[in-house]
Order: sequence, then C-alpha cells, then structure tokens
Amino acid sequence: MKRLNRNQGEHIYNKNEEPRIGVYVCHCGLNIGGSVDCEAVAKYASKLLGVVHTEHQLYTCSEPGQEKIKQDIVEHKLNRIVVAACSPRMHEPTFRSCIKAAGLNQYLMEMANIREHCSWVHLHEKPEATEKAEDLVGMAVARARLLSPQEEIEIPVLRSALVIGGGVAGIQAALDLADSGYGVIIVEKEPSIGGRMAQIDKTFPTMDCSICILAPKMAELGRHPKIKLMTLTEVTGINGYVGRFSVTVKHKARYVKDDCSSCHECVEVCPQHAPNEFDIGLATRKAIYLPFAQAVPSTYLIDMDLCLNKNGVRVCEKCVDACERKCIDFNDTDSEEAFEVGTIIVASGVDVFDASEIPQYLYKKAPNVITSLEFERMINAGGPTHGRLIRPSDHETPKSVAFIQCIGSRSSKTNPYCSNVCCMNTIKDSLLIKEHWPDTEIKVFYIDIRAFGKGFEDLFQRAKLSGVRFIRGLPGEIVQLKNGNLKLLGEMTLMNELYDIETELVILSIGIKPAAGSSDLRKYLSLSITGGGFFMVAHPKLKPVDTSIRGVFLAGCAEGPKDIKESVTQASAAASRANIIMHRGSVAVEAITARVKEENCTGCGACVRVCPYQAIYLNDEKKAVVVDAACMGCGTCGAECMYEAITMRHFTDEQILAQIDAFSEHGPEKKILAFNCNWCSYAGADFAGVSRMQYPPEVRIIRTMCSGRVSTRFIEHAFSRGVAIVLISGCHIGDCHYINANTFTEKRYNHMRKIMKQGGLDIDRLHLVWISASEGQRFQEKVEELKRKLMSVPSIEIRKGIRYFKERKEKSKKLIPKTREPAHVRDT
Amino acid sequence: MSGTPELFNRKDFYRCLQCAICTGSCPAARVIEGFNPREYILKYILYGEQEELLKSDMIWCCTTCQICQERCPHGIDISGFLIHIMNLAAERGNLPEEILKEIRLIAETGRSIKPTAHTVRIREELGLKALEQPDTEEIRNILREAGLKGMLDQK
Ligand SMILES: Cc1cc2nc3c(=O)[nH]c(=O)nc-3n(C[C@H](O)[C@H](O)[C@H](O)COP(=O)(O)OP(=O)(O)OC[C@H]3O[C@@H](n4cnc5c(N)ncnc54)[C@H](O)[C@@H]3O)c2cc1C
Ligand code: SF4
Ligand code: SF4
Ligand code: SF4
Ligand code: SF4
Repeated sequence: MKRLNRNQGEHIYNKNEEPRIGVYVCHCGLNIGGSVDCEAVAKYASKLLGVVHTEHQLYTCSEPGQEKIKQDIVEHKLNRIVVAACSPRMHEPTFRSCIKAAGLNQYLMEMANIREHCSWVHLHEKPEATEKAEDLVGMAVARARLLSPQEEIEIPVLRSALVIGGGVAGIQAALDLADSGYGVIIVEKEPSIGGRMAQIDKTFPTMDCSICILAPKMAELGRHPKIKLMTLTEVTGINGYVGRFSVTVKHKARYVKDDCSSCHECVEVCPQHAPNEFDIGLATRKAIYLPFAQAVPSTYLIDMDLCLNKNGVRVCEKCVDACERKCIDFNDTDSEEAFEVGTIIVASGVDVFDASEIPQYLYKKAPNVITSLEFERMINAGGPTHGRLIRPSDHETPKSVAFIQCIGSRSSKTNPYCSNVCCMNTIKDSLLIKEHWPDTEIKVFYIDIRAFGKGFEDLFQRAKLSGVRFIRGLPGEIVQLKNGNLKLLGEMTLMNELYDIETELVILSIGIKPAAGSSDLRKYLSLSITGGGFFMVAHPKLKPVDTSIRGVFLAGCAEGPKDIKESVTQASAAASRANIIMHRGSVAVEAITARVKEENCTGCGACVRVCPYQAIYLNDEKKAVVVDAACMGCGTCGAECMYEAITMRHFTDEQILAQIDAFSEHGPEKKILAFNCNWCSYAGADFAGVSRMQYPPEVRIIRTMCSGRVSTRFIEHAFSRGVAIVLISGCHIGDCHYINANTFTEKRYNHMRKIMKQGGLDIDRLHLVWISASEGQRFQEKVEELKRKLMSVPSIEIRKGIRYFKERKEKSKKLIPKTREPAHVRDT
Repeated sequence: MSGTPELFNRKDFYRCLQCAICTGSCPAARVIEGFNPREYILKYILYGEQEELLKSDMIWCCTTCQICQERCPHGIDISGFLIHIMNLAAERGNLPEEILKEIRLIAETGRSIKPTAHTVRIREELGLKALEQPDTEEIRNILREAGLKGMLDQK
C-alpha cells in the first residue's frame, strides 16, 4: 500500500487558518435557473460566515466554469469550495479534480444538490425552490467550514477477473479479457456455455445461423489458455472489494471425467429417458447425455436424478462398460472452491416468460399452442424435428400459423417492460416459415411493432411483402377446436371490427425476464435493480456498464432486455472497463474510513460488534483499532460509539451537526430533515429528480454514506433545535451496500422512538423508510405523507421536544460514566 | 371534469395499450354490434366524459362480468368505469326503456325476473324451500334512496 502524495494538492493546509470559502451557484442552463433564482442564492451565500467569494454561472461544470474556480482559488486565496449544482453522484469527481488541479486538496469541496433535489422536483414553485436552494447552500457552507484535507490510499488490484454466466455476453467479455492477458474464470450454471443464443436458429436482422457464429467462439473459449471454464457451477458467496474479491463457488458433480471423447457409445446403451431441457422438452435425452452437439465442454454428464444408480447403490453398469476411455466416475461428488479476483463481470442473462401464466391462451393445455423458443428449436436443423415445423397434436406441417405478441411483457401484472427482442424475433420467424413453406398463411397479432434497430425496418417490410399479415389487436381468448385447430377471438382495432380466426398453430411470442438466480447474485454483490428486476447501472447514459459497486460490471441481458449485437457490444465495453482498473494495477480508495480518538475510547467494544466488515478490533490496551484497507467507511461504528471516540473522515459528527444547525436556522418547525444514504435512498431521491417527480419543498437532505451512520446524537440534536420532522432512509434490508449496517439503523430508530415516547413526544415526528435507487416514487410519496404530518405538528409539541432533548443533552454530558455500556447496545 | 369517478384512479386509464384484449374477451361485444369497451376507454382518455357516451344506449350492454379487467394487462377497471357512466346517465334520466321496465318490475315484485310455474316446480323437485315474498316496500325505499325516485312512480 503506498501513500498517494503526488498531485494531492500543493496547498499547505494549516489547521488554524480561517476558512475562505468560494460558492459557485450553477444555473445548469434552465435546468436549475428555470425554477431557482440563482442570483439570489449567490447573494444569500455571500453573507454566510466564511464565504469570501460567490459566483453564479450558466454551466459550472463547463471548461470556462471550472477555469473560473481555479483562477478564483489563486486570486482570492480560497481554501474551501462549495458548488451548488447537480447531484454529487454526478459531478463530485469533476469538481474534486478541478480544485485539485488548482492546488487545493480534493476533499475541501462540498456540493449542494440544487438540481435533482430542488429545481427538478419543484418546477412550479420558484420562491419555495429558491428558499430551499438557499438552505441547501447554507448547509453546504456550514459543512465546508469544517472540512479538512484527506489523503487517499491506493490498494493493489489482482489482475484476474470473474465472469458470471456463459451466454454470448459472458463469452465475449471473457475472451476480450483473456486476449488482453488477464486470467479469467467463467462460471456457468448449466452443463454447457452458450446461453439463449445457442438455442435459437437464425438471428435477426441478418438471418445468419446462430450456432454457426456462436460455436467457434464457444470453442475458442474452451481452449483459451488464460480462461478457466467452470460449468455446472454456481457462485455461493462474494466478499471483499475492488481489487480483491473473494469468491466461493459450488461445482455440481458431472460423473464423467474430462477424458471423454464424445464418442456417444454410452448414450446408445443407457436405458433411462427424460425430456431434454435444451429442446424445452420437445425431444428426449438419456440419463447420460450432452445437452447439444456443439456443447462446450464436450464432456458428457450424468443426470443423477434419472440414473438408476442412486445413493451409491449400483444396479446398472451399461455406460461404464460401453466407455472405452473409462471416464465414468460414479464416485464424483459436488465440491466447493474459493478463489480471489480483481474484477467481476455479471452476465447472467435471461429466462423466458412462462406463458401458462396467461390462462386464456391455453399454453400447456392445447397442444398446438407453442412458444417462440419452442419454435426456435423446431425450425433448427439440429433440433428435435430436424428443422420441420409441425403441430404437436398430429405432426402435420401447419398451413396456417398465428403469432401473438407481447406475451408477458408490457403489463403491470407480469413484466412491466417491453422485452425488446420478440417483435423482431416474430418477424424473423415468419420469414423462416415463408422461406420453407411459402404457402403458409401467417398472421401476426400485435399491439405495436417495435422495429427500431439498424436493418430492422427492412426485415419488417420484407415480411409484409412476403405475405405475412399484421393485425393490430391481441386476441381476448383462444378456443381449442376438435380438430386441434385454434380459434382466436379478438378485435382488429384499426377497423373497429371483431375477428374470429381459425388457425392450425399458435406461436406465443414470449418475453424475457431476469435469470432465476440473479437475486442471489444481487445479494452477494449488493447490486441495485431497476423496476423489472434487471441490474442497475451506475448511470444510464454515461456509465452504461458500471455498477455502483466499484470493480463490478454488467454485460448483456442481465442489465436489461437486448439483442445479441447489443449484448456483445456491452460485453466488450464491460471488459474494457475492467481492463482499465486491472491495467493500472491499483485503485485509490476514498478517504472516508474511520479513525479512533484513543483518548475517548473506553474499550467498550460497541464498534467491534456492529462493524459489518470486522474492520475494527480492540488491541491489547483495550483501544479500538481500524484496519484501513478493510474499512468501507459506512460509519456504523461512529454512530454506535457513545463516547464520540470515532471520527468518520469527511463525514464527521461536527460536520453533520453543523449541517443540522444551518438547517434549523430558519423555520425548523416548518421543515423536514432527511438523512439519505449515498447508495440507495440518495440515489432514489436523485432518480425522483431526473424523472421530474414533484413533491413538497419542505424537505432538505443530508447525505451520509450509509443510514448506519445516522447517530441518535444527530436526531436528538435536530429535535433540540426545533426541527419538526426527521426522516431516516436507507437501502432495503438485505440490500444494504454495507452488508447489514442498516439493521443497526432500524434498531437505533426503534430506540429513538422509545426515548421520544418516554418524553411524551409524538413519535410520528421520526420516520424510517427503505428506498432503493430506482424507487424515486417511493421517496416522492414519503415526502408527501410527511408534508401532511408536518401540518399537524403543533408548536407546543416542537417546544416540548426542544426542552426535552436539551435536558437530555445536559444530563448525558454530566452523567455518562466512563464504564457504562451504551444504552442502545444493551437494547438489542 | 364534473363527477370524475372516485371509484377508480383516472390515471390508471392512461396506461391503456389499446391491445383490445378487453373487447376481444367481452361476451357482450361478441353479440352486440357496436359495443366496444376498448373504444370507450380510448375516447375517455382523449376526450374525457362526453355527453355522447352518457346518452348512448350502448353502455347498458355491459353485463359487468369483469372478464375484461381480469385479462387487461394493466388491470384497468373497465366495467367499474362503465358502471360509473351508467350511474351518471341514470342521474340524468337517460335510462333505456328496457332497463326502466326491469327497475319497475323489481319495485313491484322485488325480483328482476318473475318466477314462473316452471321455476316453482323445479325448486320443489330440487327440494328447495318455497320462495318468500320479498318486502317490496323496503325495496322501493332502497330504489328511491338510490336516486330512482322519479322513475319508479311514472307509469
Ligand atoms: C426466443 C428468443 C429469440 C431470440 N432471437 C434473437 C435474434 O434472432 N437475434 C438477436 O439479436 N437476439 C435474439 N434474442 C435475444 C438473445 O437471445 C439475447 O440477446 C442474448 O442471448 C443475450 O445474451 P446473454 O449472454 O446476455 O444472456 P443469456 O443468453 O441468457 O446467457 C446467460 C447465461 O448465464 C447463465 N447463468 C444465469 N445465471 C447464472 C448464475 N447465477 N450463475 C452462473 N451462470 C448463470 C445461463 O445459464 C446462461 O448460459 C432472442 C431471445 C429469445 C428469448
Ligand atoms: S418487442 Fe414487441 S412483442 Fe416484445 S414486448 Fe416489445 S412490443 Fe411486445
Ligand atoms: S463499522 Fe464501518 S466505518 Fe466502522 S470500521 Fe467497520 S466498516 Fe469502517
Ligand atoms: S385490455 Fe386494458 S390495456 Fe388492453 S385495450 Fe382494454 S383497457 Fe386497454
Ligand atoms: S365487464 Fe362489461 S365490458 Fe367487460 S367484458 Fe364484461 S360485459 Fe364486456
């Protein structure tokens, strides 16, 4: 671990120097200027303690905007900068490097979020929004006065990567990284890599053969010296952080050794049959099998649930006898393995929607209703019918086919999103049918045809020209007729006419949904998800493959429905992002870790008990010690220590209390103070802003890294200053960015409500809500609810709170015996 | 919009995809030409509550079987909406003759269908107890309370 001294700033910081703060209020064009009077805010700021220079600029983040800050730092000898602009989640790095370039330590900068948390959510309330922006700037200035310079440490990065999922995206990412020279471990839960693309026949929009273009890549991966392929394997746990993730996996037994030459002799003799999963049950396989001809690895496997030899009892030796190379090993067992990697790419892909969830379309009830994925297997020359399209009921080739679109997609009852690929897939399928059986009557029942990509519209036109009929309006129901045909009852909306159409085969164009195991992955990696359950990226436009967890990237359909081309593009992007970190060989970690003030530490061990990372321990002298490389800076220990023995760098008690003081300077009895955690609820509030969700302007947010940082001291202080309502918000339980730190938030919240009750106070003045990064609406609704509450808090209640908490503060100053266990620890 | 329905959230209607699953599923639309729940939703989204709809005899064709909203991808309360329109129309006295007849029958006999000798016999065969005479006075009071006062008395 080496100290990072270069470029940390030439400004020599002197503890006793007077703060000289420069405040920059950004108009962001009309984004902020449209609903906040930025000039007035700058004027207000100029009167604040410590502020010596203010500006309001059209775009502070622009080149001239940043130049101005740099000039002013030199010219006006500024030693602290406040930028009132967008979310720090957007531009904190920008302004940090800006002031660093001017010789100031990058930690001497604070942002006031007057866009996502103000102008965008109060579009039509300029006076209130302006007042709020002034408050936010006041709070930022109060914090800036107490900022101190910090030094970052660099931690080494292992030059190896884990890729989870061996679909086309995972394959591409693994190959790119391995070709760049990194060691790659790729984990696939199925017996072979290939994913969905291995199952489909041709690919839109170019109509090339799917397995023909995928198989060479699969084979390349299989023999790449830098890649370790683990099939039948699932991740069971991930710990650590960028540069050094510790991963545990579980391998399922294959019962066939790598020596297997795929001669197929064993299959010939095996007496046990079952539906083949790869062909979605349209064909059978044996207990010993290879899922499909091009499978990688090409080693066969035994399905022990089907095999006659169970629990060590051997009744059948047929395959053992048939195998010349003696590869069959009934003693094989499941095993576990642990390894470390520097970066991770998640490419867990998608599963298809289960069409039987929509009962009126008779899937699994009427034999001649099939899904688009089943069709792919059928039309494939290597598939169960050797490329012949048949009706399952009588094995005849149908003379008429109907496709029904949007199955399971675009519905608040099933998948709320458009699945992106099914329109084009149907168009492709209809052309394939026309190619082989030109006389087939094809009708496509749709709501909208989404043909947005390059070459898509061409293909759509080709389908229409080749005689495929597109009918707008989905059937209300399907009726099965005696001859196996199906009758579709519905309305053609473009004609306002009802239809009643008989067809020989129905193909349901099923949507796609996140892969089954992705919720486990999400837990292991603390990833956020968006509405439909897909993984969320750090920024939808500018960081389209990064996650909010450093060193973890997304590729392919795991991030959202997309086609092959986009999946591959994203996979290469993810590989190149991972490459950047690994190529440098080290990453700087934010200087926000805990420090212990030894003189205050009583050795009570409360911090040790709550730290999610075991990053703090008691030494022989009974003093707490922080392991810098392991500490994530959640601040849970700081909130738990009642002797104020822990300093959270860059999020100190003093800084947060100063923000509360500034907040409560003007009309605290009419406002809501919110603590939002950086990863989920602050991001959720940002999302509300980006989506322009309007909510009452009475709320002001203080950002902490984790809700676990919110000490009862902060809440008591707020109430003692007459704040009407306090809201604590964090990630949902189980989703905490710091493993389980938010469970302590909940305990403190309950403890705090008890204290309020003892004082005869209205406990409803304190709220706790879990908000994920995609739940902007939940934040909006919470603020609306709190606004209603705000109207009903009488001033007598506020005064009572002030008195009660002031008294408590006095008492606690005098009374805390140095050896007593903190009350809120005993509570738990 | 006067009398905007409180029974349901108006915003929900804006989700409509115009997929036509409702009309495609509707037993009434199958037999009555021109009855089209999808179209009513579309018009409601585009134009709000229009006089045209309130005067139409068509809306009364809904059987309130609710198969439409059962299958609607967004669970839009289509029959709730039609009931609301029917209520508004009834308030204004726009009741089709057929419906009026039925209401009067209920007021007089307490039933929407008169029991026939045949139904009485079937009940006997099934061992069901004999039909009691409903309290028609009570029923008339309920109908009056429900806002059908004027319509009950005119003969
Ligand atoms: C019916 C159908 C037809 C399509 N037709 C086309 C087309 O013509 N053209 C086109 O461009 N696109 C088409 N697509 C879309 C295309 O299939 C996807 O874009 C592509 O498969 C995405 O690749 P992926 O690697 O992201 O995911 P997937 O192909 O889903 O692969 C994910 C892999 O990860 C594995 N996995 C999942 N979870 C875990 C875990 N926890 N641990 C280990 N492994 C895991 C899975 O077993 C799988 O092998 C079609 C999709 C469908 C459903
Ligand atoms: S791609 Fe087409 S069929 Fe698939 S969900 Fe979107 S609109 Fe529906
Ligand atoms: S509780 Fe959080 S801040 Fe404290 S030592 Fe552990 S990881 Fe660091
Ligand atoms: S079923 Fe629902 S979404 Fe579809 S047209 Fe009818 S109301 Fe609209
Ligand atoms: S509730 Fe009314 S509109 Fe809906 S399907 Fe039944 S009859 Fe048709």
